[in-house]
Amino acid sequence: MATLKFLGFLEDMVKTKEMVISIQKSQKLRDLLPVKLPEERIIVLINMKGAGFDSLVHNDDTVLILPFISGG
Amino acid sequence: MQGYMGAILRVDTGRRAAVEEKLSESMKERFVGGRGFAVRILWEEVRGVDPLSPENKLVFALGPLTGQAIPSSSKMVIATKSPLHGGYVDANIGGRAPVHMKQAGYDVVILEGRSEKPIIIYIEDGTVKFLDATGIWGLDTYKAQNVLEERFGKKNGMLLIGPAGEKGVPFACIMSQRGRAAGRGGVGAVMGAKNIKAIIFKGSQKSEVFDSEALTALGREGYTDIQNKDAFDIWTRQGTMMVIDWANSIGGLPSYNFRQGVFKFAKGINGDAAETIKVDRFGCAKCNCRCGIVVRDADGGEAELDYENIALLGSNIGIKDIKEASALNRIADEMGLDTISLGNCIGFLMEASQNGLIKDKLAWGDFAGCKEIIGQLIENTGQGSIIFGGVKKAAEKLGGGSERYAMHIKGMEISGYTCQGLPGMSLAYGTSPIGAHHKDAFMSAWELPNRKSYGRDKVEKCVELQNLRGGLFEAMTVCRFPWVELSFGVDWYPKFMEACTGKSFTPQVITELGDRLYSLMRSFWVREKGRWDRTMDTPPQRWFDDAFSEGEVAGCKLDREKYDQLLSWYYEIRGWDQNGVPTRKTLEKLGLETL
Repeated sequence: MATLKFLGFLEDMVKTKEMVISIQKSQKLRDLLPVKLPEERIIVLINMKGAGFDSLVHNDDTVLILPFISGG
Repeated sequence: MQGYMGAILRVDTGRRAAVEEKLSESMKERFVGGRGFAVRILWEEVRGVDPLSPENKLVFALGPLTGQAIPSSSKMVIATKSPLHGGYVDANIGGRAPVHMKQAGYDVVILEGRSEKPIIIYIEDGTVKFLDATGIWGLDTYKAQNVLEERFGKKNGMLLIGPAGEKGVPFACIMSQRGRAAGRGGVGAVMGAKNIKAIIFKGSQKSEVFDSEALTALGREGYTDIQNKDAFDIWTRQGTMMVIDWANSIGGLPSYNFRQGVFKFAKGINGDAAETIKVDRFGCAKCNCRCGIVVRDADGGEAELDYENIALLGSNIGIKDIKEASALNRIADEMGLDTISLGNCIGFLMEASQNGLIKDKLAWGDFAGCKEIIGQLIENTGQGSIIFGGVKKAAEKLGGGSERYAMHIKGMEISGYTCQGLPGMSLAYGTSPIGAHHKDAFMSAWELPNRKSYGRDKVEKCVELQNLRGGLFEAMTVCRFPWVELSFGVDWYPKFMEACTGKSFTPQVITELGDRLYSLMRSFWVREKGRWDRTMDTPPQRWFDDAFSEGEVAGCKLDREKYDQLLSWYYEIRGWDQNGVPTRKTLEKLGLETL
């Protein structure tokens, strides 16, 4: 199972904070998303490492998709 | 250059006299506004003084964009020699006061001397009145604001202090409108030392701008653009509180006195939790974002929440309930205490208690104990007296190895991001010109994809962000939130500046402005401290020694040698020597006096 977590306004777009998905074979992140997300000023981390929408997601991965904010 | 009122008001509070001075073209050209004006004035006029003496000065400064019809332009810089750390400090505040100060006719107000008795300074369209404040001295900032609004109405801008400022707590802040704060470094203590309870601005004047039609059109387009941003809805619902989950997810949420970056109970204090107890929203003048989230707290009061407040008075001290964290936030605002320093101080005491260094137990998450400590802190009694001077002095008093977890840089407590796993952000904190604060450069988001790197690119980005945020934005002087939180393009601002001032703000001009301001702020520090070395720009021991033990970031800590390399590159790029002191060549190049 892979876990996808959405933060900030991305959660509003996807309408959930977290999705748990069973993946048969590795898939690109963009193919796993339920809706199209903006790709500018977005941070993608897979298992806390820098990634992108074309990165491959494997079972047991945790994917964080974060807006690029600047902490006040 | 246009966009200014063209006047500085110098107020001698001891003699109860005020004089107007012309704002010179050279000041506008070289220092632009806000922080630029403030640091220039402090450099020239405040030398070797005790921060709480009549000789210290409190500078209120605006920029050309302040109060113009563009997004989020009600912002002000308040600067002084800090009673917390003895170096340069400035703090920002929004609300209505910045717009009204400009309309009253001034770009800068300088408070000097010390009034014999508590006073209110009332400034309206070029007239200055010194009014008796005896009746409101001692009132908290909410009650004092109510009394002042009954007397003067709401169509003005009020800045006031609470009991913390009156009693000289070195991290007392200046408040406005029940929850807005010029928070850091003790600007409220300096105002209190001058016996000033409140300053009220009111006016009807307007500044001349270079191209009024263009500025109005740009402003209108800007407001619309912001409203259409993807993040606009959540921002107006949660404001900066949305950052709790964000910081927690990356292992950057200060928890248990910065020991951990992940708080297991974050759901109890996050933006969603805040929404469940929200009763109102607050916005500054000229802003369409209205990021202030007002909630009903555990004691039935109304608190205006921000990320920093809840990170430091929530997870950092083990408070798991948003209502309790909100109540501590509100009490701090009523007292006029910097919530960031307060959360650090309480976290420090809790850890000292855990280590058996203090007599009365103060456990993580002890809500009642926290309230008791705040009361003692204001009165400088009991265990509150340990933290009266901030965590650096508290560790010096307590000893027993407590300096290892006294979380400060340059004597200022650290704001809401713990950096064991964020080397670039730790450099931003280390080199922040006011002490450990994030407003000058926020590196975390930028460095996340490559968080373990100590590359030179991180140093270059830190300097670039400092020059933009700490240079341009602090000088223009407007709120940076539309840019940094809503992705409103930063390229709007040079356009605003050109239409307002008539001067072109090219990348080169912006870099030079940033370089000038940072070298001058550093010169002030070096002169006032009488010495400087690399330790002053280095984060506390905890970030190097105590690796996180929880969450996906477990094991992360900073590497001292690699941090030192970042610092060397930073000094090189800034044109400072390897002790962090601006070189003669750099100062001459920037048209600044040598040390």
